[in-house]
Amino acid sequence: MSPPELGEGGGRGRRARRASPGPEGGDRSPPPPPGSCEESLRYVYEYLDGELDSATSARIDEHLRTCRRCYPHFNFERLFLDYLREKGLQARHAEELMRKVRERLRALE
Amino acid sequence: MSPPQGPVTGDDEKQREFEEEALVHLDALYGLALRLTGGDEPRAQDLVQDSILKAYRSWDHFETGTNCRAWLMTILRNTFINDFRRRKGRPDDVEFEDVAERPSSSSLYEADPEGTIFERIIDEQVIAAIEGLPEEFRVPVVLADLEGLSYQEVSELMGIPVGTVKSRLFRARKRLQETLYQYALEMGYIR
Repeated sequence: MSPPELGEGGGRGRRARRASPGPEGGDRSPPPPPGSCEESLRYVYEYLDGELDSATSARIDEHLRTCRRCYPHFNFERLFLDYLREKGLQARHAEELMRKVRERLRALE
Repeated sequence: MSPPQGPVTGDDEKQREFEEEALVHLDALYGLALRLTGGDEPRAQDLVQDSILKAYRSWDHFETGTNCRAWLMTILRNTFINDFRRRKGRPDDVEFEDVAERPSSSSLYEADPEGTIFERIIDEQVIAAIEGLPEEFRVPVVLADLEGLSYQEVSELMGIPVGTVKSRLFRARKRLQETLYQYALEMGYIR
């Protein structure tokens, strides 16, 4: 199944791309070979979160176009993150709270 | 009907406007407050009330026509975060957490690589899974995954390094996947 539906750069269109390269913070391990499965799998979340620099991101795009092993993994993680985003912030009916809030607002007068 | 007598600035008018534009978002604010507090209803209600009162006091500074919901969510988020940081005291300058964790395949991925489970699990279960995370994992998930903030923004809000944000998000997401995997097993969606 290809081409990937992940979209160029992977970021799910919700954040500005960061300018700094992917590995930062206390990442003490050596950088993986560019264009490898190892590189793609290391940065799966940063890629999907739109937090990678454009060069690394483009390299992963390219890798995902051809790698049968990495693509399903990325696709799964993207579905998972979309699912969280879609379901996670659900509101809860707050009639009782609305009553309290109105009372407090009136008391301000 | 008589023409309006100059600008209406009375408290009644302000309250009416506030109800129409701001209070309609109360359910959404409560949802966010519940996620942030891990489903602690009394605390979430206090948080919403404090945020609403703050918003009301600054209502004159709110620019009509801009996104009121986003403005209210920001006030609530900042109110929560101020309290969070006060409770945590001074943030550690260096938190030694291994950010080089590999995105090892979760059991959920192995059992259901196509992610069909996401269409079957009921909403209450994912919400319970999020609210059940320990606070240090839950807050980054709410801020980054639900609200869409960047690693940098989460780092600044929480007072932790970007590398720690990454590491906590990674671990939180894997925990959520494990929890969903358990639900899915219980429900017989996967074997």
